[in-house]
Formats: sequence, C-alpha cells, structure tokens
Amino acid sequence: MGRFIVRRLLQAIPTVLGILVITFVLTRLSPSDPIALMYANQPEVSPEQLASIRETYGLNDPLPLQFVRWVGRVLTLDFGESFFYHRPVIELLAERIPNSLQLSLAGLLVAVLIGLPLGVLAALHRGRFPDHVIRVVSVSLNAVPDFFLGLLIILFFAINLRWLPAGSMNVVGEQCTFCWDRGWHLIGPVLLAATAGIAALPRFMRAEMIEILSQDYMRTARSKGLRERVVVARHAFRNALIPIVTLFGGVLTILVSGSVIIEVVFNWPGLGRLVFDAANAKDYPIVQAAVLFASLLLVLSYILRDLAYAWVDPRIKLGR
Amino acid sequence: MPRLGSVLLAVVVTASACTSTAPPQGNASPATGGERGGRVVGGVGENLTSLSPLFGFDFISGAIWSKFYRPLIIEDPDTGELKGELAKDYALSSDRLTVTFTLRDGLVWSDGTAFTGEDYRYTAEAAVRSKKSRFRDIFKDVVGFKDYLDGKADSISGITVADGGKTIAIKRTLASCIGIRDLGMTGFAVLPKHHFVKDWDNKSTDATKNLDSSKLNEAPPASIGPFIFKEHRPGVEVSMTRNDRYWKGAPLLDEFIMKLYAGPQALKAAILTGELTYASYVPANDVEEIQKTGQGLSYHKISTPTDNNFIGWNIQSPKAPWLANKQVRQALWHGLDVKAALQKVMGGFATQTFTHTAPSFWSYPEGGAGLNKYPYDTAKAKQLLEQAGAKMGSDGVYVWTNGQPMQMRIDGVGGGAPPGLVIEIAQEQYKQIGIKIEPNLLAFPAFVERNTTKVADRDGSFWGSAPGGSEGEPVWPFYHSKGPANFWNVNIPALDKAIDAGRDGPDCSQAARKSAYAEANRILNDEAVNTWLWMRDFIAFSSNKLTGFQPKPFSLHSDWNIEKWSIKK
Repeated sequence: MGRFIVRRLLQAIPTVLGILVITFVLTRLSPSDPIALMYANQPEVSPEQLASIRETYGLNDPLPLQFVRWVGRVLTLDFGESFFYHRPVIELLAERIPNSLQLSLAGLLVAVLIGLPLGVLAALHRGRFPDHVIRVVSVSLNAVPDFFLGLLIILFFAINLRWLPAGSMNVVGEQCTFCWDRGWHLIGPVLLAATAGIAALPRFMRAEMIEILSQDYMRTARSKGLRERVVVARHAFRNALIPIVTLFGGVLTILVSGSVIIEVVFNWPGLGRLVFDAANAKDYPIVQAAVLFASLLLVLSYILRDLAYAWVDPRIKLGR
Repeated sequence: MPRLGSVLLAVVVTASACTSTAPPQGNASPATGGERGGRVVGGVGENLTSLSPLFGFDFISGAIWSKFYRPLIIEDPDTGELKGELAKDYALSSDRLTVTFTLRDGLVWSDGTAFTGEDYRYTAEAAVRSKKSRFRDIFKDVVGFKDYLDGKADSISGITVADGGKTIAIKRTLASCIGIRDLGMTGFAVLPKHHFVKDWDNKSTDATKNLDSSKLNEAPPASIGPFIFKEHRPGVEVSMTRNDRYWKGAPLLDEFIMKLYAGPQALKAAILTGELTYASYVPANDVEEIQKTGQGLSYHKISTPTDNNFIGWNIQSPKAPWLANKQVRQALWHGLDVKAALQKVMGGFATQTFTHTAPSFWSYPEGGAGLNKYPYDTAKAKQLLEQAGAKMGSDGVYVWTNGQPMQMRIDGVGGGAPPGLVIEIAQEQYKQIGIKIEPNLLAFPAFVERNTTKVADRDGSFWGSAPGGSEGEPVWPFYHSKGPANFWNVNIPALDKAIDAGRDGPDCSQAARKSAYAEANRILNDEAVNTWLWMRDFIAFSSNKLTGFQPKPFSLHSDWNIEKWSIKK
C-alpha cells in the first residue's frame, strides 16, 4: 500500500503543476485590475498612488515573472497577502477552513445516514408505495435550488416559528465550537447541506441494490438459509457501496471548500464565502491559494477513494 | 468588498471657514439622558477589510474602527461642514499655507496615556511610509513629504508639534483653501503611537520599514473613541466595550457589537428575528417586508449624499459626437422621465437631484437657485435636438450633422436594478425622442475597467457613486479638467475657474467658497454634463428599546451621538 501511495503522489505532481499554471493564468486573464477595482469608489486616489500600490504587490511586473515568484513562494508555504484584507492568505484560510469543515462534515453525515437507508428501502420495496414516496422526495429535493430551499428554511423555522436561528455560528457575542449553541446553529445549514446527498444517494443506492439483489450469489445466500436482513446487510449493501464510493471521490474538496450558497444564505463564515468574495474582488492571492489547496485535496481524495475500494471489495488489490 | 453603486463612501465633505471653534470640550464623566448598561448589536451586510484606518478605507471597516480611533476634525452631521473632534479648533494661515490644529485639553487614550500631537505625527508618517495605504497622498503637499518618503529625513519637516503636544502645525508647499479636512484626518484617524511604535519607529530614515505588517493593525490596542476593542471574529462580529475615558463622556452602553452579514438577505433575516438592535443601509426593496413582519422596530429614512445616481455622458465620444453638444445633452435630460423612473426603480426611496452636489451639502446653491429642473418634455427634447442640427431619419431615429444615426451605447453593471432597469427605461424613453440606445450590461469588474479610465470607447454609463472628493468638495475629482476621476472628459473653462476659486481662493471665506461652488453646480446643471437622477435614501431599522439612535445626513454610521445611546430595560 505504501508503494501505491508514493506512486500516486508522484503521479500527482504534473497534475498539480498544471493546476498552478491554469489557476494563475485564469485569474490574470479575467478583465480588470484588482487595485482599480478596490479603489473604484475612491475617485480622489491619484493614478500615481494606484500605480505605487500595484508596484508593491508586484502587479506591474510581466506575468511570467509574477508566476515564477508566486510558485517560489508557494513552495515555502507563503501564499502571499490578500489585497483587501492586508493579511497573509494562509491566516485567512486557516480561520475559515474549520468552519467549512464542521458544516460540511455534519451535512455529509446526515446525507449518508438518511440517503443510503432510503436507497436500500426503495430497492427492497421496488414499485411499491415507499419506493414512490422516496422517488418523489428525491426528485423534488433535486429540483429545488439550494438558495431557495435555504431561504424557505429561514423563513419558516427562523422567522415564522422562531425555532432556529436565521444564521451565524453562535448567538451574538458567544463563541464555542462544540456546544449546544453551535449544534442549534448548525441545524439549518446542515439540513441544506445534506439536501443534495439526500436527493442523489437514494437513487444511486436503489439502482445498485436492485442490480445486486438480482445476482445469482444473492439467491445462493438466501438458499443457504441466511436471514433476509443478513443477506441485504452483509451481501447486498456492502457490494452496492463500491460504485457509491466513486461518488465520494471529491468529497474532501467539498468538505473543506464549503458551499458558497449555504454559507451566504446562513451567514456561515466559511471558506466558500471568503473565496467567492475574493473572486468577485479579484483578490488573486486568496483565489489562487484556495484553488491550489482544493486541487491538492482532490488529488488526495482520489487516493483515499482507491484505498476505500480495496476496503469495501477485497478482490481489488492496490498497486497491481 | 466595495461595489460601485451600493458602497457608501465617507468622502463627502468640505473644508469650511478659515477658522472654526468647536463646542465646549467634553470630559470623562458619563453621558447623561438614558439608562446605563446594556448591549447594542449593529448589523452590516458586508465583511470588513481591516481594523486599521490605514487600510480599512471601506465603509464597513470605517464603521468599526471609528469606534476606537478618531480624527482631529469631523463633518457636521447635518451640513457636512468641518468641526472639531479631537482638535478643539483649527485655523488656516493668511497665506493659505499652514494649517494649525489645537487639541482639546485632557485627551487620554483608554489605557490612560495622554493623547498628543506626536500621535498625529506618527500616524501621518506611518501613512507616508506605508506601501499599501491609500492615505499617503493626503500629505503629498506637506513640506518635507518627499524627503521622508524617500528616507532622506527621519521626520516630515512640515509637521510641527508644539505646546507640550497640544498644537499641530502643518506647513504645505501649495497655498489652498482646502486640504484641512484631509490633514485633520476626517475619513481617517489617529493611531496610538505608544503601542504601534513597538512595531515600527517613525523616527527613522529606513524607508523600507513600515507598519504594513503589524499585528496591531487587526487588534486595536487602545481607544480614543467611545468603545474599546475586545475581539474580532472574522466574518462573524467585532465586539467592544465602553471606554470610560472617552472625551465626550463614557457611553451609557456597556457593550457594542457589530455583526457582519454575508449580504442583504442575511441582514434582513437578522432584523426580522430580532437578533439586531439596529441595522443601517437596509435595501429599499426589503422595507415593506420588514415593516410588515418585523416586531418592535422603528423605521428611519433620511435623504443622504451617499449614493448619487446618474447617466454620465462621454463628451468626447468618437462614436457619438453629438454628446459634445450641450443642447443634445439637455435634450437627453428632458427626454427621460426621472420622477417616474425614481418611483419604478427605487420605489420612491430616493431624492431627485439636479447636479452632483447633495442638496444637504453646505455648498449646494441656496434652495437650488439657478438649477434647471429639466422636466420630462419630449417635445422640448426634440426641439433641442433639431436646434442642435439633428434631422429626423426615415426610421424614426434622428440623424446627426455628420450623417450618422443618433444611436449610442449606455454601460451599466448587470445583474439587477437599478442599472439594468434605468437603462431599460432610458432605452424606451429615448426611443420616443428619436435616439436609439444599446444597453451594455457588464459584470462589475468589466464595468470598472471601462468606466474608471478616460477610454474613448464609451458613450454613456449609469453610475452610482458617492459624490466625494478628497480635497473637501465633491465636484473637483469628477468635473475639473484635471480631476483624477474626470472619466467623462469634461473640459469647461468656466467650470474649472469656479472650482478653482472654491479650492484655492484667494478668498477662503465660507461665503466666497460657497458662492464659487454654487456657480460650479449651476454650470454643471446647465451644461447637462450628466443626466442626474437621484440620491438613494438612507434606510435603517432600530429596536424600539434603543433610544438616541438618530441618523443624520453626514453621519454615515449614524453614530454621531453613540455615547448617548441607551437600551430601555
């Protein structure tokens, strides 16, 4: 397994280099100058001072030089300083990643705990009432845009019923990461974060389960006298998970990067919101660092996915 | 992050009379008039960029650091005229070269250290040596600026601190009536030298060192304002506690928290759930819902000079040469039903304008005297076009004197009202007067790229901008032929002359300057350089439990009397 991981990491190097180039070029190719944008409402700032600020950030240099300088810094884990926040990018990311991670992990957990059993249930009751209900729920959740559902959650549960907060991570003036208050504030965004999974997982799981339940070895298992619960849980469910694992290929990236929509609607100060704002403002250092970070996590996710294949299906041998 | 058309700037001011005396000095006894104690939670719909006045020049950041750091002079909340804050008075020498500020007696930082002119000098020198602060230019005309910037001197020789730190004299290289506001650090603020000097010593010729990376920038160590910084939770809130040494008297409130929201939707939800004690700059389209659903809220709406909307015409557009003609520009103003558009686009939450300067501003022509109101009149518009030489074409579009159909483009930021809606209305209404409009809605960065430079490839553009100006009056940057923001290529000698008289004198009296600026505004109006539309109203909601909250036109953060705010128990 060690050799497998090392080999995959080496294979990832050209991918990451490609990502570095593409990220840099794309941010620079988009129109407008970040300094002009930052001072768009400040007509009194002289062109000379704007040029001086650009010089400070190295934006007057030729693009290849800017790229080489950026890569050099990245190699020493220096992602530069945000144009807008005037702080090191690494600090800004470090502040936001735990917030996104907490929300995304909770959302994923809820999605898996609800979505997979619903898929199994639908497969076991194929063509009957539970199957229809689950399909309707799944399709409906898939059809409703995230932001709209988020606003509905706030309208009903926060504004009308006052059962949930309208957003934020804690009540005003308080801060705790693992406490009832945080749990209470997580309910709304987690519901929204889990929606996509609850909508998609049952459909995938149902299809896999139906296919597996019709396999010969399932009949064999039943004919051995195994109880139906054991047949489903041990033989069908585990085998059905193999394609599902593929779906989780990019899960680390999603977990850490967060969701712009959820974070904006629920005022959750995560990485998604930071990067969205930075992209709008052409705050290159933040965007470049976040994309690079997400890309590295994607590479890592795929390695973990391959490891997970081997875990759910012993027939798959790594490194061969 | 700043957004054109919605961000509200703090740069709408003026230098006023040559000498002004502030109200009697305050003391550290508690403010009176309400119950003591309690906490106020304010809300804003954007994130802050920095807690240092050196870098946090955006509206949101200013709303927060201004609770800890204060300038020497401020704008009068009602008129925008300058008045004393940390300085009890200020004066301009008869040769218009030297500005002198005299500090109030007994000013102390929250940690008990005396506030002196050396704090001012330190902050000025920090701004000059900073590689990232935009405030360097404030001091560019001060004697010794360049030497200090280049590291040839260890202080700015033109700044003199005397009388035991109570008097600050600033000698300039250019004689002018203006610059007092900026030198008084209005829109900026003074830092506590005794803390920051540990990170950077201003008495140095090493021009490579500065305060840019100081950790104290994001953790204000002492306060000369009403509150003391307690904690900043990025993207969440900034909390602060009462400053018992505040010179106007200790605030009645124990605690102030500014909550940061991801956008108007999140802000609205917080208002409706009662999370906030007050919220300012609420979008007009949320007012009805908040009034209907919100409980225990007071509604505030006033006309402020914070967001002046207009269609700017590029007078030197090669593709629309008719824009150089004054009668055509006047026809464009008559051809647009601004009152109806104001209702449709802004829901009535705006005040119609006829020039760049806000009606509440001290230099606005008295009662709007001499300003043409350009009533909607399509017949008049057509008459003006024909007088200018245009001939009606067979397709219902006028043809200009060079044979070119009068067809042009109006740029705006896409993605919603008002720009899109205004341009749509203009397209429809200008069609009625024989002018064809092509809407050109752009993403914000692309709009800025096209519309903040003197590019020729532009005919008209919808602008939402604070009528600001660093030199203390609103028209110079945009309309003087040498103005840095003269994106419309305005070059009218009489206008330049009027603006110069307001800025440079030689008569720096308030009356003379007001007369000069009134003339400048009349010329702008008559020349119809832009089709001015409206200024967005300021809208706020506050809890009925909050007393003392009283927004005013020139108190952008509504906190001019925050020491007197109290919470009913």
